[in-house]
Amino acid sequence: MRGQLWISTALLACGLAACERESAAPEPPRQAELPSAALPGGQTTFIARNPLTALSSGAFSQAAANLPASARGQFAVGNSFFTQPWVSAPASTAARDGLGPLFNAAACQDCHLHDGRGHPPAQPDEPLRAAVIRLGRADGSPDPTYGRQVQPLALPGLPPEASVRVGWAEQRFEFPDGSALDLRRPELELSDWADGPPAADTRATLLVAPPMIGLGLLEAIAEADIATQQAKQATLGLAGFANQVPNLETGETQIGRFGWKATQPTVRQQSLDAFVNDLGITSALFAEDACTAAQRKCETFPHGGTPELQANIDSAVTFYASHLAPPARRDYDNPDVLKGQGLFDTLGCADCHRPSWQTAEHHSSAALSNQTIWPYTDLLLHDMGPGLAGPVAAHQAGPQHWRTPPLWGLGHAKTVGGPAVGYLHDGRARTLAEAIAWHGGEAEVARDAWAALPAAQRRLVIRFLATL
Amino acid sequence: MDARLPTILLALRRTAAALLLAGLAGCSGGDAVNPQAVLAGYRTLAHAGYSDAYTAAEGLQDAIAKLDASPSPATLAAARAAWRKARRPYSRTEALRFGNWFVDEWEHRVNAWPIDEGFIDYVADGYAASPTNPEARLNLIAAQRVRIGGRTLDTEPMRYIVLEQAQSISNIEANVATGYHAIEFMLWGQDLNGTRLGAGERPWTDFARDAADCTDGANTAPLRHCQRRRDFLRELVELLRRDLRDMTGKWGPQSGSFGDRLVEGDPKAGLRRMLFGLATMSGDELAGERMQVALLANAPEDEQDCFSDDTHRSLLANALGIEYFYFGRLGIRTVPASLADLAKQADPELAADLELAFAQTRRAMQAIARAGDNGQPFDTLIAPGNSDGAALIQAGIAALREQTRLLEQLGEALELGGLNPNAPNS
Repeated sequence: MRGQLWISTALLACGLAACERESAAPEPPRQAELPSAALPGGQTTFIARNPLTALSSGAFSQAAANLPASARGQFAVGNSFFTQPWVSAPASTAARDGLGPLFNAAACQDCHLHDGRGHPPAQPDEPLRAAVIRLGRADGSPDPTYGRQVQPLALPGLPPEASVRVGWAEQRFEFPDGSALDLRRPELELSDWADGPPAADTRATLLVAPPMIGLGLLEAIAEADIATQQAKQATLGLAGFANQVPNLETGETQIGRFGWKATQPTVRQQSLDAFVNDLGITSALFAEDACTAAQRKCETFPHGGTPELQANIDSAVTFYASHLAPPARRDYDNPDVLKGQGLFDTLGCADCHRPSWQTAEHHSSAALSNQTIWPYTDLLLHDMGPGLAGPVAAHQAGPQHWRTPPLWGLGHAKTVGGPAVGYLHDGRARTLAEAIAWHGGEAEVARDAWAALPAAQRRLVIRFLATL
Repeated sequence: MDARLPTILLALRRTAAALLLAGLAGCSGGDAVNPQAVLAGYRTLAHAGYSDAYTAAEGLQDAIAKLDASPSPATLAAARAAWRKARRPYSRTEALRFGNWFVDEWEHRVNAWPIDEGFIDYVADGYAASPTNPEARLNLIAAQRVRIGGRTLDTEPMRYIVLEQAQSISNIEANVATGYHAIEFMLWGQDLNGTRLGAGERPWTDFARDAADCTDGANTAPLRHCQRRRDFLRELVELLRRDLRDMTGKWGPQSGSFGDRLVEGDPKAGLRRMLFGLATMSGDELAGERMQVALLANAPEDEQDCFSDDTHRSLLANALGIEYFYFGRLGIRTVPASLADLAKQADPELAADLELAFAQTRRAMQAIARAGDNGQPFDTLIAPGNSDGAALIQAGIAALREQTRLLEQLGEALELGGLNPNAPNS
């Protein structure tokens, strides 16, 4: 059969070639051609996609590039259970049932939009969709009636816990040069409580879903390296510290790495915590639905298995959540970007937003081990001042403490999640400049140094951040 | 890694492969297989594959034009048959998707699934879409103006540009308004049979031109609904035709096309893209997403061609596509150099194993297709408790996984440094 002439489509080829309008997009660069700083996830970094950032809505949805083909099946299964909605029990799809009875979302993807971050409601009367409201009392304990989180959705037959309305209070940030920036901060209105008002000292914090990229890499950083980073705080003039949280698998206390207040030690525990609190899906680590003793009606709803999350799906989703690749940086060598990067260092931003780490051996994935990564976080909690305070404490994290969030993928945030996506824990900052302006507490010195720069130089810092 | 081979032999094999690649890149001596010729064959086949899909889409367009002109049980049946016919050549080209970013991005326009059907049209009472999808009952057919993701969209008249926009501004992936599966839903309607035998049963009167006939399924409906369903089909098949034309062109022989740049670029990078694409389609998409997930969930929502119950044929065409692009043939058409030739030269034993693995996959996937043709389509195979059905699917998954493992091994034998969507470190 070899050597047969290829003519069957030659005519068609000529006809079609004439119609072709070749895209102006150049081919993506190669990993070997890029310096380490352009590869935030080390060898996991995904490059081979549309070079036009504006078209890259799938920028956060790619598997670690160095994941072997034989492991990609597991990633695909995890992706499906991350994306597809869960349904109420009993259902013909035993693997996907167990939603609720109280819940915030029906699928992980509902809040982690395209694996990116969520956002507060774009309009005050829009329902809360890609964010949650955490509850806590002055002593750090959950609300006696509503627990740790408001679930504004419920299965038919059960009232949702409360109605949520997110309004905004405006305030101004004044630069030393006389210019100003309009800021907004959320004002939560919780009403229609299903079982009477919450405790008098219960407070609420709005949290948007964080982006999913690079989580397994952060898990692969050695505890000792984080401890070293903590030991350096005094020399940096900072007071950052690691949260110490229980590992429910081992029963031991460990450094917290995930969540806005670093409340979870592992990707799996973070994921299963979200399953039970956000979806109402019980698992090997969280056997009880997120209903308190006061919410007795919860118990009358059928379960989708004990636990509801099957072990094989638990593994697949954890694998998926661990292996989403940070996308390659663009314009990393642009002269303005390099200037902005220099300012980022000299202003002191990089003291907390630590640019680079070396991962150790990951407990179960070679792809995540021994990588030079660029997450721009020290994984420590810092006092960010009263302006950002979320009144709910968590383990060692007080109301003003927030974990330095990773900055990788920052420039893709709105492309991935849409125009309503903002920055900071509650999505209040509509632009990167607003996000910087909100920095207080330990970050106030650096923030003020940035604010004191001429406007053109302030923009260089933003320009740099947008390339991450 | 092949466990049966002593390390020393393996080392010899790898050295031989390295020498071959190194020696071949620059010369054309002997009967040796030139990697660039393999890439050229891949480009030619890709172009032919999309040309076939394009031609079949033109057939679908003709059939939809007839349904539009005179809706009847016969023209609806003919349109459905044309859709089935159009699926097969397209499904083969999916072997190209993961090695080529411009295909993967484009794919969302033409093949997105699963769908929350209520986004497009009326749905039955028991319709269970995600409770958090605010547009799950948007009903583009009935609406004149819709709100999606905080934006208002005028849907009158029904144009494909509006449908493209409706899909792209929604943040919910199940809100699909373009591509094969949106057309499939429009031709068949919801499959209300769960995991029991039976596909969607949309009546031809949903497309009626006479106000007295027009329906929304079992209910009478304003004529406008029927008009808009015909508009929807006509617009979407035109969009599909254009999308396939564009993709065919990207693989054309003209200088500077994406296909041409692949052929002219670094041969190792090109081979790696080819192999990565085949292995990912095999192990990740087909064995994982399309088969394992559906089996785990026992859910018809997880079968790809869920309205038409044509999934068994798509799965087979997906598998055959991988085989075709490996062996460098498409039906009776062949190209002068293929990955299989390169494998034979670099590692004859591995090449023989791969040949066996592809044959095994073909048998397993044909068994699933045969079951479908004999009254046991995919959604009945994944029914809870159907252990024979599960065994059929498991056999397909196992064969695809073995094939994936060997393709990965071939990457090592060709010294490509591990399969990876990015170009290699050289």
